[in-house]
Amino acid sequence: MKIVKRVLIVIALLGVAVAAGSLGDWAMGRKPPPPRAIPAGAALVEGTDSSLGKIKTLDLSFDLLKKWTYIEGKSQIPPFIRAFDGQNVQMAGYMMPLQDVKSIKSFVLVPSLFGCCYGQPPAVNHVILVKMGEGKTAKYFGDTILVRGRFHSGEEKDDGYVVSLYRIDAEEIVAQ
Amino acid sequence: MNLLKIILKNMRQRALATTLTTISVALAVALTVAILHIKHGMENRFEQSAIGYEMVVGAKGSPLQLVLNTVFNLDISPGNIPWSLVEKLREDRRVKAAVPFSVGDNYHGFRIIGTTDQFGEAFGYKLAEGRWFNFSEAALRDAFIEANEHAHERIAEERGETPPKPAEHHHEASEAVIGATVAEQTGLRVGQTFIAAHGLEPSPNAEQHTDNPWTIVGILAPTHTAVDRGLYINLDSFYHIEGHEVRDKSKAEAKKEEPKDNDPDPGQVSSVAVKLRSPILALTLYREINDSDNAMAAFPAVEIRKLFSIVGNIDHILLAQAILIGIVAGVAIAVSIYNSMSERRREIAILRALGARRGTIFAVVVLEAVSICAIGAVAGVIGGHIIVFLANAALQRVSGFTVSAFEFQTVELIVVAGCIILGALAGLGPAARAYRTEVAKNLAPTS
Repeated sequence: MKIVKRVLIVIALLGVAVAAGSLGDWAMGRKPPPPRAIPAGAALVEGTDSSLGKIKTLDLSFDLLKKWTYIEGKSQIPPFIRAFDGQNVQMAGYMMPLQDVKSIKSFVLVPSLFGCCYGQPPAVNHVILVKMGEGKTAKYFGDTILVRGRFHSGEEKDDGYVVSLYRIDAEEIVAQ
Repeated sequence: MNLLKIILKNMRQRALATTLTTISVALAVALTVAILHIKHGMENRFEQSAIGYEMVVGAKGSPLQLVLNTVFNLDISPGNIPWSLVEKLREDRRVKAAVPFSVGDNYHGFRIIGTTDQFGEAFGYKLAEGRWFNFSEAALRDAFIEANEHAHERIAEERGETPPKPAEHHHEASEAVIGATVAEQTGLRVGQTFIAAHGLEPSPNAEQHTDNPWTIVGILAPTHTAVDRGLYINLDSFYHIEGHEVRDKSKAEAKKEEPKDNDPDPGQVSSVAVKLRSPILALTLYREINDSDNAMAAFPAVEIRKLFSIVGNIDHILLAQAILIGIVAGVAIAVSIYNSMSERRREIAILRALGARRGTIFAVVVLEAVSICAIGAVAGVIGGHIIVFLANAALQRVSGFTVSAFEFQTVELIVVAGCIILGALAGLGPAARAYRTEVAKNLAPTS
């Protein structure tokens, strides 16, 4: 019986050592849990588990948005962008939320992550203001996302200043 | 005798081992609960959903430091920026509101922040009682000029010259609006006065600015942000505090001639909180400010997310440690019960002879381990809350936030449940041995 006891203790200690090792690895980031906490295709709108595919959408890209130059007060939004107005669109990009740390209510959809300090920051007509629907919030995700929702274009003004040109009322947001 | 009674008697018979193993479980649970609570409190503090503005502008340095100092009243200010920048930002068409802050003093550890009456309105902070102080740009300019004169005076004194007689200045009464937590913890009320101590942290030896009392004219409604922990004073009164002169000596010297009313750069502030008309406009303004050589812009939301990606790992390590302690406690229970098995062999044989089934014996041992863990877990939850309660004073001093010690989280139930499962697992080994105990062999007295 003594042998059994010793064997049991040794097994228990080994178990603890293995657990400690793997926990340590995990905590030190040597073996990050899964490579991405949020898998591709996962819904980023909090409280939903639906992924894409519910609504029929048109593809919209930053390349298209960049095809014209906007001068405040002078330019008209060209018809090839007007055509998307009021339609359900799907667009890929990076989220840049500046107002909320978590439970994001609105963010700027940008073509690339914003670094310092080379290149030009995107102009008003090169980014999209994404607003979450009433009562909806999104999780933060640092990689490419896909936004689906109704697209609106036109000068949105605040005290006479143009504050946005394109907006999407987001229905679905997923990690890409 | 029912099962429970047998278990209790067993536990009492080996009171020392039972107590020690219970304590080890309790310690592990207490540590886990305390870590979870403090982590939760910290996240709440930093992830306050409504900061009220998108950008802060301050001296060049670490953007995180600028954000901690301006948004969370932590760390020290990275330096000063000229007043002209505040005016430039105010005139910028992309900016909806730019509110300057100046820091450098405290009242019982709560920061005193010089700002303008725009602060509440621009960022949506409401008053619970009283009114805002009256800020006037003219008074601020006067305060800057006066501070400059004080600087001249000092330089003259240091050189052994007779200082020029300073002009008499008439100050409006210094007024302040205080945060909800400050009012609650210090007992200050509208109409009362307070004086500032120099520095950002409380110290018994700090210089007290006794000649500059402020009268409280308003108390803010609770916001559950760092704003609750600040005393907001009229920006011009900040420069009436002795020693808050222009720090740039050469500049003070160069301006020996009469300071002009239209001087573009009469003074300095610590930082500016900027609310933009739209987050889209933040991108270009951010780049413009960071390309300039006298100031830096930072996005609080971005900095806080970065901070959490670093700090988040540290509490994983702490949590892993607490879980390991729990496992060790479980092993200790298993070993302690297992060791007592040789003593219990006869006891088990008698129970069996009296008609107890093998299953009952098995259950008795498992349940004994489970009850040790359950008692330990409950004691640990209580202990964890006591740790949080005791740690609050230190937490407040170090990081300026406190965690409610009397608030229970659902995750604590999971910890308790995990403990009971751990106990059951720990009991399995010894219980298997008890199960196998042969009646005939062990019924005879052993010694």
